[in-house]
Amino acid sequence: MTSRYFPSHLVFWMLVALFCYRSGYAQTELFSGKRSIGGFTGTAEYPFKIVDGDSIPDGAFLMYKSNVNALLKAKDSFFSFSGRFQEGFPVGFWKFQFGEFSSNKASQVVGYQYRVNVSGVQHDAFGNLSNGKPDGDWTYKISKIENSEVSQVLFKSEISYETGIPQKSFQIENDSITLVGRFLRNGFAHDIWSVYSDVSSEPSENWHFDNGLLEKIEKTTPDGDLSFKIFEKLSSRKKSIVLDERYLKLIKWNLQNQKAQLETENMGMYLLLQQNAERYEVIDIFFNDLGKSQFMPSFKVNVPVYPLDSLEAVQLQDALKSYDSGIRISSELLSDAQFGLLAHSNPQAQYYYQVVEKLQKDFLEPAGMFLGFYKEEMLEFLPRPPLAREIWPNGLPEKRIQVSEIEAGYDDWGMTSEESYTNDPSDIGNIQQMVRYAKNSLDTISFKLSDWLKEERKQQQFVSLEKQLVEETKTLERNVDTLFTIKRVALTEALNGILETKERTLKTYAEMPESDTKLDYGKRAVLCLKNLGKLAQNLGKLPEKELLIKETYQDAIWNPFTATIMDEDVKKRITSAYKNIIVPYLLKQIAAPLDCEEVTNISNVLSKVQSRLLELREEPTKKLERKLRKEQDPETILELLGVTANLKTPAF
Amino acid sequence: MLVFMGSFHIYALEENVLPEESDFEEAEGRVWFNTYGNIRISKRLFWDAQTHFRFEETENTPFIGQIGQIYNRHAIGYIYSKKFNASLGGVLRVNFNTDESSEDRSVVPEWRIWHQYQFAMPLGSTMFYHRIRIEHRWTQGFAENSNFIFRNRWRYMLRAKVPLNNYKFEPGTFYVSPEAELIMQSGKAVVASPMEDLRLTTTLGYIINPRLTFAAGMMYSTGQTLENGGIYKQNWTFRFHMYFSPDFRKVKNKLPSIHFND
Repeated sequence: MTSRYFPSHLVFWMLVALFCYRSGYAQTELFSGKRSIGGFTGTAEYPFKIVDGDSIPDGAFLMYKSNVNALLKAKDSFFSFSGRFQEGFPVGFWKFQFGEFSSNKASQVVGYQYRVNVSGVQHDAFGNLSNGKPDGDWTYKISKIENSEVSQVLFKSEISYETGIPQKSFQIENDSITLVGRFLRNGFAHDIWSVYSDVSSEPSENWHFDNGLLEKIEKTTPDGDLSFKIFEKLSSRKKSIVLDERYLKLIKWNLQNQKAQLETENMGMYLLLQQNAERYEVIDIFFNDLGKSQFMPSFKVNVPVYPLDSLEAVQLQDALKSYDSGIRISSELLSDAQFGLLAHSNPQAQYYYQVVEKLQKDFLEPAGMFLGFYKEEMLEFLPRPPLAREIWPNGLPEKRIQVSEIEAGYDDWGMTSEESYTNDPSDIGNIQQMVRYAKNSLDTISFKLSDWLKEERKQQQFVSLEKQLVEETKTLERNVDTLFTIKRVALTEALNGILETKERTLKTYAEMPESDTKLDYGKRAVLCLKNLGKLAQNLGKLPEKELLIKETYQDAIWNPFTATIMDEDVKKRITSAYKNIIVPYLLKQIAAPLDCEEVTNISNVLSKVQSRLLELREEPTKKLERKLRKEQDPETILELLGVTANLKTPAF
Repeated sequence: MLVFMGSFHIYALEENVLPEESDFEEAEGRVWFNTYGNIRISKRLFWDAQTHFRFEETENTPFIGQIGQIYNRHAIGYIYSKKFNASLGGVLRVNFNTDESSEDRSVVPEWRIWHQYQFAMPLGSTMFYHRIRIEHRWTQGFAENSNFIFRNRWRYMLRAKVPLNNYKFEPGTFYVSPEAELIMQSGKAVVASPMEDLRLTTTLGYIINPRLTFAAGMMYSTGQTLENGGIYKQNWTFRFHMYFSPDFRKVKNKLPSIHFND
């Protein structure tokens, strides 16, 4: 009976369906702990789901931070955000509060609570969201708080949305001006957007929109009222774009092109829209860090469009490449100190310097300005002929570059090349060819100069090297001179040896033909002189070190017959090996004289053997002393003392 | 007294009468080889071990002469401080009969108990030393069956040591050491000759290391003869000294004891 009504394959398919359901809709877990989201770090509590390895917030969200100790100590950065997510999208009512407070440390007990007055700045933002987009009224307010009361509203923006599209009238104000405007239901700017200042009831700035197209800007200035026409209603094709930084730059160019004495950056509209965008961005970053949203408002506007065809797009890409490479070469050459110096003394260098300067100034820099509009995606919204005229009032520069009179024999720069262009800048093809020509010219010049500059650099290196050699020599001679006051024949001979090594090194250097090898030898010679200086210093300290060793190797002994305490030399075999064999041996080596390669090593051997001797005083040395008894060979003695004396190791 | 006198040579009796004027005998030459050991046995105690070989000039042996006495002087010393020490011990002196014509015994022993108090005084680089030595002495003559006589000796010595080639005493230092010692004696046998000896010495020393020093010098000495206070003997003595002071203690024990009271 059962098998008839519940076939086994049906049970199997029910289980499969249940499994699919379970895996498709993951179980909700709760996050509670410290988190860093959108630049805010604090305690967060929210449920989330894991979908395809991603954690997606889903449900009521709360995140906060405040520290009363920090507040009482100095100041506290606090925040508190609350709202709800649905499948990763913020929905429903959201409230943001954050800022920085300090306190005057005076407290009061009210009810069963301590109350502390605070001062600082608080940001408040609240409104509804639908599927991650603002929906309904949104308010963003920045208040200045003094003694726990709002003393001033620093910023306030009130905008209505319908699923992300701004609607109806809106208002944005800061501490001195207010912008009032209106949107159509489709989000396009419409009618007059006015900026009022606190000092007058008449608007100081009016932007006339018609269906998203900015027709006119009126501005009240102390010199009178100004009015500028911006876009022609009946002109070419239009395209809708977002009212953002790029749009404001387009307006700026338009005004500049009309020679209007108006800085867009100082206009109320510009300031307030920018401030509003900055505030919305804080919340947008926060939402996007956690889930998915489109919080940034899209104020829509229409602008005339002058589309680029596919060939122009290719030409612009190519021009941009040539420009980047060309401007890099010209900047490198012009900032090369060697080239700059050479240009002052050598007519040929001067000639090239001028050509490079012209290539940069006349060819690349204007092209860079033009291409800048392309990079910022503004080019298709700018009328090409006026733009080209503005950048190149006299047309594109000719391939032949005139240089100012230097000397006979230096003609104008003109390179035979396959690039050809007319001076019409409104043709993008011409611009592409010109930039490419400039880049190729720079390549050629750079190639011609490279060996020359390298040689010059080398010459310069010789000059500075020889200066160093002279300085090091003087220092060494001065130092050695003072040491000649120590009257000890072997030491004097060693010091003479040091001077002899110095002489030989300088002589070898002087006799070498100018080459990389000489440069290399010169560098090592500087090092050699420095090392000789150190060695001389070491020798200067020899009497002092010998005294130290002598004192170290003495025991104070009571002599009952004189009733005095006497210093007695101990471990005499060690001190005598040092004093009578090692030191004379090393001094003899130095007097020989040394090669530069040996200087550091012999200096090290001397220092090492001295410190080894000081160590050996406290060590058991019976065996060593026995071995030293008949040993006369300094190398063997150094080995016995544990000092490796491979004097020929090149160490310079 | 008679018993004592009997032990002397017969002509002593004739000489026993004080002369009108003091009579200085002709000086005799002597050579002394002295070793002085000072062996540390603890922080404050040392063993003072001295062996002296004294040669006397005789008619047949003019210069170094022949052996007169061998001293074995030993004591335990106590180091109170760097500047003061004291010793107490005994001496066995072996006296040899240097009278070639004598038929008496050729060797007799002499016994002493001695104690000594020595003060050191630094003055600049020079050291001064005061030494008081008191000896209780039993002697006998060479004649067969002669009895021991007992005397006390009262000795004071002032000695200086002046380093010559250094500003302090160190290994390798030469020093000159002038000294003057007056030896008085008392006892029943001492009737008219309390001044036994006045010794004026100068030596030149060389410190090899704190444990070994050699010195050599010349001493003039004079004193009343026991048998007749009017007769003064005189001697010129060459002195050769070796001073040694080994310390066999472990190194760690040696070091702090240098500064006794520090």
